[in-house]
Amino acid sequence: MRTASGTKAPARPAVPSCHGGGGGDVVRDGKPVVALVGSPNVGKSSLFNAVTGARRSVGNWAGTSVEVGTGSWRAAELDAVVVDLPGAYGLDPLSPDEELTRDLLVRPDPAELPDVVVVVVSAADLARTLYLAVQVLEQPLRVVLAVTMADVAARRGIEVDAVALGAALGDVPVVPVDPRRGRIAGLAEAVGGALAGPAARWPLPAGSGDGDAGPDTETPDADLGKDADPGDDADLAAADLEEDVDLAAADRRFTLVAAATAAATRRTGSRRTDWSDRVDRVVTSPVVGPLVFLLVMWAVFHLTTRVAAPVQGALDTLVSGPVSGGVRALLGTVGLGRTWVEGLLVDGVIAGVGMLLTFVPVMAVMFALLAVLEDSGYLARAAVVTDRLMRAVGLPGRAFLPLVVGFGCNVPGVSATRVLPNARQRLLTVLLVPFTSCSARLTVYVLVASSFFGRHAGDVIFGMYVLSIVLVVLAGLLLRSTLLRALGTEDLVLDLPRYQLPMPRLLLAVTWMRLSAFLRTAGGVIVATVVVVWALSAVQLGGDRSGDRVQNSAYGALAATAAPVFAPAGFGDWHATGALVVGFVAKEAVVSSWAQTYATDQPGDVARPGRLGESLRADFARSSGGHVTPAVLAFLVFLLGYTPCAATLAAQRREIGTRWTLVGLGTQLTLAWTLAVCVFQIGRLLT
Amino acid sequence: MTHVAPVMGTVPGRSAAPRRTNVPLDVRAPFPHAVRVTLASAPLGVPLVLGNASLPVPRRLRLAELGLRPGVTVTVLRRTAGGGRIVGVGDARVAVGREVLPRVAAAALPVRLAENG
Repeated sequence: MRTASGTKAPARPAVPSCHGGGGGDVVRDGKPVVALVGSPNVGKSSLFNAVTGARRSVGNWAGTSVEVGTGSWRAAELDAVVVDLPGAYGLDPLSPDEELTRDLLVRPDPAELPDVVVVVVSAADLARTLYLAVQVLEQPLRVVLAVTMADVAARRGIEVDAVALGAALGDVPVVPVDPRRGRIAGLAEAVGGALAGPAARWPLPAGSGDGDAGPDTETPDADLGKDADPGDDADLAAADLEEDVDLAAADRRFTLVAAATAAATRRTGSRRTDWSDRVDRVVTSPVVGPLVFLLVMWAVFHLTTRVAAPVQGALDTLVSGPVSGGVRALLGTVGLGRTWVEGLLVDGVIAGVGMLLTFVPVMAVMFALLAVLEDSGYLARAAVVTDRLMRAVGLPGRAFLPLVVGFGCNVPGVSATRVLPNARQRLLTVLLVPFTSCSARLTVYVLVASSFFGRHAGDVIFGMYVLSIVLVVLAGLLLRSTLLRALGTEDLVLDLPRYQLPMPRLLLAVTWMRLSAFLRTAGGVIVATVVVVWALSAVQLGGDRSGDRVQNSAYGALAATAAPVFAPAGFGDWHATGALVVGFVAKEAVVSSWAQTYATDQPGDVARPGRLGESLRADFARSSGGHVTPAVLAFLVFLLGYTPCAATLAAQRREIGTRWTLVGLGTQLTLAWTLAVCVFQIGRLLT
Repeated sequence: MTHVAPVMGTVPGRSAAPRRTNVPLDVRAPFPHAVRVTLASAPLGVPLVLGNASLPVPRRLRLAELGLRPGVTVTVLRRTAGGGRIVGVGDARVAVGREVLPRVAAAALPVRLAENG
């Protein structure tokens, strides 16, 4: 199906409406809906934050994994719902995010369209960012143009005349804004004015197929195309009339864009050598570029883990000490001390909230660093530097960042996938992050390796990190060849925004917005999981009264039931499986779980396991039939590969939804179990 | 008549001449002194007039949306890690991966001609 403008109509008929009628996410409440659209790096999200006061509801659009932000725009002239659509260079999508933007703007039913579309264009790069505007103007939409980055343009000796630009595009309202500094005067008035008017259709007959401007066939350099590699000759030979029409329409749009740019732009000075270019010479160079990238990643990794660690410790101490103690004392005074109520409140709810709070510092630091990398322009360079490496698993270069963060903690690693503009690439990365070996697993590695491998403990721990990288690659290849076959390989063609100094006000707003969204959406799951595990360990199932409470609890029974599953991997013992069950909540709790079930003190230094180590050695020797080393290695492999923690699952659910989170969970458990069994069975034959 | 190689050699700091292709010279009109290259073989720092790209239409449109379309003058500024290039299109900078580079044709212009044009 083709619209009059030549832009293809959405293939999916049931795309949710901006107005919420079709199961969409925008609650209209009788207010007009204003959609913000623009190319990447034009300041669209900054404008959204400026008009909404950075109060943004973030969520995936119904039926998709594409994130769309919504908020309220209240001004003297306007009270509207504003929707921040994914960035797009045009309405010819190459990714699910761009497809959603196109689908919400090119719809057969005008009643489903947003009431006004604000197209954000950059004064510093008018010619390129106007293309989308022209495509939007071809639709039956009320359109307002917001021109950003006049300051950057001025430094390059470029001045944009808003009035001339509006006239060149057919009397479109054009408002210069500077959202990074909160200067958006006149925009609400222009949107209000557009709302009062009728929806207009741009008269450009683009793509109507009248053939008055062929696709490049008459350009003087048309024959240059013969010089390129013929890799896609078959595709090109099969290009049909529709593709020719697309190119013809695009050609007409570019002609119009060039005319509008010429009419509205004035050179006020000579072009200077850009310092952005000088920086790029270093950070994208073949030799120094990767080193700079590794340095930046090292800084991100250390800041998210080391800087946040003392605050995490203080919060943990506060919750498990004064807060829990205070509640226990309070319950004691009302006669509820040592009852199930105390257990539920202190060991369930407060412990769960405490666990959630310990994530706040690490998430805040990570979100702030992400905002710095994004706003400064470095993230695009990082994507270029690592593109080739990441392409091995079908991911773009910038997927490296969440994976690196994952080695510190998987929870912020999952959230860091928001740097990826493509929803499918985001999905694959979210599924891969749990295979990165987080610092919480390290405690268990050290304890187990020290208990069993003595002076070779360091080698084993190093091997776990190498295996983690191998698992990321293996899982990536596995998912790409099975569930995510449609992901495709996207060649690198990436706009590099000019470097700029991040603005603290903007960074704080973005950090808070992402942090609060994480707490809202993942917090409930984290607290609920801790409460469930408490309930399982609190419920006593009778049995041998002389045994310990843990073994006789529902938790102990569950661990004992699961134990035979791990017999082929050599650790079919309830102590080991019980620790893995606890590890499902948090890997930090594995060591304390063992200490509890073996009735020993938790070692102050996990590298000196003492009696706990002796108990572990005895149990592994029993469960493995004497093949201790392969059984321990199999246990470590399973520990690395299976679900990192409930918080990671909650973060995954927030990013990719319940269904894909369950797919990821199944993949992790299957892969981890299979590898563990392989390690034990092969090891048993060799020892 | 201006010969290509000496003109290319006048670009400061750029010693590498563009790699010639086996296409007859007479197809270079209207730039009789241009050398046919691709973005992969184009020398750094030399103005190029882009030709067509041997890519599927959606990819060609994406290149065009980023400013890389037939007839536009660009400059390959530098190589990147992984074998890509950074291409200057006016004030904008676009990173292009190594898989795309050989599929985008261009004419390397003699510097004096490009400056005048």
